[in-house]
Amino acid sequence: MTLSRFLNRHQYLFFIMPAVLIVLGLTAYPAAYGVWVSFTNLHFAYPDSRFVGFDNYVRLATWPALPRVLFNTVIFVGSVVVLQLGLGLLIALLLNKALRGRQLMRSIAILPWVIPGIIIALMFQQFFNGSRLGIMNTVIGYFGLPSRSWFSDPTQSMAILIFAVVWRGVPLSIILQLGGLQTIARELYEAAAIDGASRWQALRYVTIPSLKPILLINVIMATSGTLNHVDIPLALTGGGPAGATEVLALSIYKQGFEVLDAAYASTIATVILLINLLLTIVYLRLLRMKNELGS
Amino acid sequence: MRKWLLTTALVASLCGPASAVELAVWAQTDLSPNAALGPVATAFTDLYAKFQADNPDITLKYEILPGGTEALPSLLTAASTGNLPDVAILDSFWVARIVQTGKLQPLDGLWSKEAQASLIPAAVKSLTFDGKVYAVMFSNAWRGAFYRPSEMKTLGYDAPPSSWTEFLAYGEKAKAAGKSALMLPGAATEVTTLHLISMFWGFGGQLVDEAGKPVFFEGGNRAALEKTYGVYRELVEKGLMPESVSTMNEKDLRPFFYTGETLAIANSSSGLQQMYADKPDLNGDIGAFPLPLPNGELSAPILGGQSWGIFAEDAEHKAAAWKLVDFMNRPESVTAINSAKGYLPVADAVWQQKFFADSPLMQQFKSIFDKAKLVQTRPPVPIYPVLSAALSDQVASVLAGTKTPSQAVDAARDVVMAEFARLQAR
Repeated sequence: MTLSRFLNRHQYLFFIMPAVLIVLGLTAYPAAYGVWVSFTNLHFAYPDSRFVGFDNYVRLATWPALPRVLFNTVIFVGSVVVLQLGLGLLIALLLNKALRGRQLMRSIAILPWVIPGIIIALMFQQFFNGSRLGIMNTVIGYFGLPSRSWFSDPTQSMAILIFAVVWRGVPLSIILQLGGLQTIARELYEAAAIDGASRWQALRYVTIPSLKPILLINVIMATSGTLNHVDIPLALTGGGPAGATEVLALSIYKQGFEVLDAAYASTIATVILLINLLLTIVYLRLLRMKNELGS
Repeated sequence: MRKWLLTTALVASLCGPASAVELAVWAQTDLSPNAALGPVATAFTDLYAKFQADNPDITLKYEILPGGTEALPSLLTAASTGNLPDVAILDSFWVARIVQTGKLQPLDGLWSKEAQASLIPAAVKSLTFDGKVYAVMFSNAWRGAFYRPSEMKTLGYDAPPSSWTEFLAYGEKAKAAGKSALMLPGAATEVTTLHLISMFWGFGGQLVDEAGKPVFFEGGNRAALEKTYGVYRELVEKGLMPESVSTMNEKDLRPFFYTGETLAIANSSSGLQQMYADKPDLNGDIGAFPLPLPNGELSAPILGGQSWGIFAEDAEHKAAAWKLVDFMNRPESVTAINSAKGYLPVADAVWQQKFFADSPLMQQFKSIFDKAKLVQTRPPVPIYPVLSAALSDQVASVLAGTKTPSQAVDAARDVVMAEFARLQAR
């Protein structure tokens, strides 16, 4: 086939190529460059850099703080994903009912999603400020309780961080799951009712199986979004107290912009990229398995 | 005919002079006409407009740099890709690294020795490399303790404590009144390090030697650092400072100051405008003092601020860039910016401006710098960010009493020296 005949047959390439090039240029190239940097010793404090093979990966594997940071990351991501999906489903089910003011409630429920992460962090900081000006301290003060320093306790600090990120992420789950709920055919519920299914059984055997593809997309988005979260952890706890809320994404920021070690930051970023890819493959495999079993 | 002439004149006036030099200026948002702090935005807008009016042959084109340390990678990337501006406002701490790119222009022949002599000597020295000065520092900040004279009076004090014994006595009175005596930031950040090294220098310690090798854990330096960590622990043990500062930065301490839960907080002079905005009645009722230390000395002030640097290589742009730098460094220009931003001057001529000369608080800052035995910048060495992180990382454990000052020094040493060995092997 000559080139002109190939181009004639595939004219659509002209139309999609600009978009493909832009997407590749803005995502694939930076990601690949980041992976390359992880194999160098690029450090912003030094003018030169060279290829160092897997040195940074060995360094990361032997980093004394790694077990703690990984543990924090698992707790953080796991809790956020479970809570975000659970609460998202619960609220989506409520908003799917033909109640008065439903449209208004839907709009309000989506609001946290449009607030920038940094503003949410500052809001929560104000909320849990340890002085008497802190909103929570004012509230507990009404009950005669003394002010407390909310971010001093490691567990409490992580709980507040999770709460803030979930509060921001739930609207995404609501939007996705509400969309999914509206695609479930009424006939399925009617058939279940005729078979004598209770509300719980209708949820268990009709709603959730029908929502599975949407839930899976939600899991993928929530997992990768939370793994990559920097703004709220950085502005809310900064990884403290004593590293109790330091997660992998925050370590990237600290290494890249505070220690200026670009190569080490890229190494951690590459690891996160691999975790994201791995989880996405696992989720997609699960989805395919379920579909095959279903059909 | 007349119509044509008018139209031509109008088009010509809109286009500006045909030979106008376009000058690319980079600055962080908070030092630009886009600054969030209204008076700063106004100061830059007015100054740039005045400069344009005075120099119709130069067109300013300003762009925004990311804030904080994120600006450095942006500048280095621009340096490696040849996209640097003609002139920029640089954090003085980065200048040493930016000089290594070979793109920052020395100011020889542009900045006269007489003009340089009007600045704090350390401000020029810290930006001089291989005998050439590369940037013009125009601001400084002071970090130390801030208090309300009216509150201090209620404890029977007309002046802040000037010795460690006085400080402890004042602290006991504050405690009896149900208040903290002082709150120092303890979160693992650079701000905590700045307060920490201010005390460390007051105890006579040095972080690195002349070759840039960390020496903070050796001999007299080790003793100084142990004493510094000891101050943190002692304040908590004596009930003069809550242990919960271990998660706090300067801005987190301010609400405690506003409510009177603490009599003094460690903060920065550059936070004053924000404090006045948060609590207007502080304006006129705020004082500052360097923390007195158990060895009879005071915490040492750290020099560090913003500076103007020129990247333009061709004579025309370089001359235009210097015109801007010179204009922006006139005492009245610096005063407009520094007074709006809450920065302190580094030049005598600026200290003499009305805003600084008439303010008792500003004169208090001047007096602190004038009386200080040591005024120096953070060491501009590659290991500094690691060193800073390692020192501030230990503060929470020292405050909690889970590490002794000696163990904290050892822990910081282990982290820093492992990284130093790795960096040396590059």
